[in-house]
Amino acid sequence: MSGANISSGVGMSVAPLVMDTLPAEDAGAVDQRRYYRPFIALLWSACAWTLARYGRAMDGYEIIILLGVAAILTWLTRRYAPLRTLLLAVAAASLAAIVLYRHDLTRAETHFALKYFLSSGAATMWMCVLFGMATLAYALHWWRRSPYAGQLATALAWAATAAGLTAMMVRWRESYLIAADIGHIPISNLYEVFVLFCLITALVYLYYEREYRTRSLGVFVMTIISAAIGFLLWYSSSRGADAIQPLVPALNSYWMKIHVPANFIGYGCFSIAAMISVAYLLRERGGAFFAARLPPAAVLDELLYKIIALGFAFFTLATILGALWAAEAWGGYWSWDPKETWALIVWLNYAAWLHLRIVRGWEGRVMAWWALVGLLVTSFAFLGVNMFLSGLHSYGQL
Amino acid sequence: MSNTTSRPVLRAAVRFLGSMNLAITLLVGVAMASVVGTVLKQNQPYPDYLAKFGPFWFEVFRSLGLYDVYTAAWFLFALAFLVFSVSVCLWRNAPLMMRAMRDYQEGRGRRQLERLKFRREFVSPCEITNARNVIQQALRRQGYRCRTRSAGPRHCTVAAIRGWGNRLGYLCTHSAVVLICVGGLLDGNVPLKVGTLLGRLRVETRDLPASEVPAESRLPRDNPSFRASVLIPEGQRADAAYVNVADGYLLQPLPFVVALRKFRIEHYQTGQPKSFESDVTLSKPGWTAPRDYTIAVNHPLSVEGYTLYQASFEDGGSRLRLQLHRWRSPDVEELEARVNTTVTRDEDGRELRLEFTDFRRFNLNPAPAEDGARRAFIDYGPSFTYRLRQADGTAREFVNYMQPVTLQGRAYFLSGVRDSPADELRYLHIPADEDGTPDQFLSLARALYDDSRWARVMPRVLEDAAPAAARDATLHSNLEQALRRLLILFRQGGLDAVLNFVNAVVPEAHRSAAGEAYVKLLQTALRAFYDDIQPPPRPVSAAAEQERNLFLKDAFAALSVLPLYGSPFYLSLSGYTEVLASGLQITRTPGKRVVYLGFGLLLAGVFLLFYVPYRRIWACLEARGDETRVLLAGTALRHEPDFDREFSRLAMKVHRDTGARPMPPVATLAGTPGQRET
Repeated sequence: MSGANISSGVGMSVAPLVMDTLPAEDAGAVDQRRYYRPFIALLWSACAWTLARYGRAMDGYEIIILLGVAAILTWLTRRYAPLRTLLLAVAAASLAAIVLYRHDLTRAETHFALKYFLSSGAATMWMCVLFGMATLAYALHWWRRSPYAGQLATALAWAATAAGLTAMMVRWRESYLIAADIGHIPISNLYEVFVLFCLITALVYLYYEREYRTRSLGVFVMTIISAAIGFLLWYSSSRGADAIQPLVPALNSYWMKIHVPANFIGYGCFSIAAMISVAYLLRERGGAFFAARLPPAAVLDELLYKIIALGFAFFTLATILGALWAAEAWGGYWSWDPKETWALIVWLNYAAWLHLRIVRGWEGRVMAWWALVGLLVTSFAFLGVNMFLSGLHSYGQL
Repeated sequence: MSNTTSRPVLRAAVRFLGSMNLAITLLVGVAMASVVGTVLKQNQPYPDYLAKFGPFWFEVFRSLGLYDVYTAAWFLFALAFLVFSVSVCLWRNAPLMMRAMRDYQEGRGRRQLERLKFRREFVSPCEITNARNVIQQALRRQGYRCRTRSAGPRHCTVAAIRGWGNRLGYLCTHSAVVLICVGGLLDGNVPLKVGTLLGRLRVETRDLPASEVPAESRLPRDNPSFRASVLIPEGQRADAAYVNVADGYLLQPLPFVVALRKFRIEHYQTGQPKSFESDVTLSKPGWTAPRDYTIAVNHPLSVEGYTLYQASFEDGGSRLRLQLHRWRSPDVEELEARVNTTVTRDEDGRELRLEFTDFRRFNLNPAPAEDGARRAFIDYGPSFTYRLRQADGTAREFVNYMQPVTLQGRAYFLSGVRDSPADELRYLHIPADEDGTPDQFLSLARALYDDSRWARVMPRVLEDAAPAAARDATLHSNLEQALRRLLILFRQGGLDAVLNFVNAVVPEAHRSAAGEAYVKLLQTALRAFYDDIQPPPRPVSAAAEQERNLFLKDAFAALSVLPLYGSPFYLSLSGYTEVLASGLQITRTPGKRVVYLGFGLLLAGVFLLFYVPYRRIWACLEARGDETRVLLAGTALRHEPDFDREFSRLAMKVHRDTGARPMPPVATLAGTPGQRET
């Protein structure tokens, strides 16, 4: 189980990597440095201003979360440069929305910019439209191998992410405009977490797109985001799920702010992993057509491992946070509630996958199929439990 | 490996237990077994399972422990086996890993290194010591720890390791799994299972007050680990809680007394509940004074190792002021009752028991979505629940609302009824009159059951229904008899009985016409009764006439199903004093610290394992006059493509800093093992 036998590299087989000649760090060095310091200065000034102005209204946990977010963004934007532009755009749009609302929610219907762009409903719609267009552009890029379509696709995906993130920020504000005690972070029901899912999946994908300098996986990942968008549209139009509802008492806790996003990094990564598996299987068996349009199998394999590892790490974090929260809200860190149990099943599944991959060095088709089946298990834990099983964790009923 | 034992069988057993294959099998096995408990709802009352699966499968599933999978012996065994396997794996590998971390393997010879996949070889025009220094510096800057061994002045090897944290990650994650499981076991209810199996504890299934629970169903007061719950009505106290086991419970005496002063529910402006809070007072023999606390959802109370949670609430014996309206008597009986008590009434010589089971001050229901998007809630107002138990033991459950509820523009008093808790409630819609009371409908119903009134009303009905019959005495008498039969039928069996009768006696071709005629006749009769008890104002306005018609339509619908209602009276609520009971969960979890330590280790371990790469690099230096021949070789546990990049960069740097001749084109990963570079 140890794999301690590191000293012999003999016998491992890694196919040749046909990548760009320059390591990504060197090529992107200029880009990576671009306005990092001004950005960080702005970020921490904003943080300091928030504390100075609203610190008295915040409790200890909220202050810790604020500082934690600033620290995480400092670290993240250093490695992931385009995030700076995204965050600036979202901050500008959100602040504009706050100013335009003037403490009056009804202005969402009357003010032009709010009605068509900045209210959370409009911004969510823009996110849906832009992700849809990004999917088409990625498909075109993949099919015709057109570099222009590829650039357009990436730009659209970033725009969609900006729109979605703005929608969440503005929705957060809108919830406080309904009534002060109703206000809460918009990750409390199925509609809201679906938006979160799209955003996180897109951000993780876009990171690896940059890192690996290939847009050929975009069409696969965007397909799953489009599926989520389809559900979102159906859910809001037929069930009126986009209405802001007050929190049930059990959800009214600072834990929600960290448990839910951590979980969705896990879900997002596992979904991307499943789509990379599809690409891998097509690359392996699809002949010249797919060979010309997809990265080499070894790259896909490496990417698959990295993304599952990332997802697993955050899923572990999320499950542990969930247990800590459960200990406060339900009176026990583990109750074998269906949602908990399915989280454990997902965790065990990917733990087994990682063991085989790391220790046994399994690669290839079996692991790809396994990651694909893993998505079914993950989807059941995410959605199926809410639909078919009942338990303590029955938020976001369909 | 395991030189602790020399016996081959034992050694094979240890190897098997610590093997990856077993661990993977167990991981997947436990995952699959866990599914069972989520698909089958756990810890329900046994009769529910019996009703669901039938006697045969009920017994099979019970013996497999499927009603409480997670404490079933086989499941715990699988879990214990997994923990044991992980422990053996740790025990076997941890010493090896620690040793490997200290072992730089600086004694590796050139030939061994030439077999590694990652290699660069070049000649530098500098002395061996300079070259060594450059290499050591470059490696250290990359985060490697180095050790150098010189074999004479002309040969030396620099061996470097990076990623001690990775190995630490392995140790952390695997010991975390063991810790979490052991801690979970400490807090689980395995001791209770063992106690009941050995007969030291007996699960109590009767509904007894705490003081009467027999000694063999009581857990020790100093029980180190339990998860119990107790329901305390406002103004009352508890010094014990209940631990649910299988189809019964065990009593857990507490070292303190919990008194509930007040249970509060706050609401959002939309009506949904915002918070549940209990104001409690705890007192304990050793304390100088009782202590006051507030327990809320997400804000448990910790006292001396015990934790108290807000878990649920229900009615704690609200006082209800009721009015009993019998269909057959004009008198209204005033009644006082408390929830969770029983009132007995004698109806037509039969004893009926009214078991009051619940009272709710608010009944929030989604408002019918008119604008589509925004869902709001409306409050249907207070309701109470009671069971009407016949002398033979059968019971019906009724849920009555205190205030009229507006449905599609009309106001009704709702009264839900069902025969078993598994059924959906079916509602009797009693139309509210102009004063917002059910009185007019109740008088109308009573009129229908009042034979003396018939004689007065009947001629009027006939006059309205068949004016021509007044001239023919025989026809008149036949018609009157027919109408009387129809009304009796309607009174006994509702509209269903009338339609069944039509189906039975009328040929198929005329059925729908006959049915319609009967319904019309009944409606005419009802109107006559209504005119009799509530004469229309003269002159009648169009609006008032319309209102009367609508009321009659609703009343007819309600009377049509009244026999199915199955109660000789209607019970209305005229006032109440609400008393709530707070459900508290009280736990003692000594394993929590162990589990949390495990959580911390697991998290740290997972990130270390994935994000601290474990790598080794060797540099084999050989002096050739003033020049130095350098062989760099390396190996990585995973992330080989990343290592490839790092290794290339390092090699390039060393190459540059030692001023070597232009490096020949190298095949990096593409090179086959053992192939020499020129």
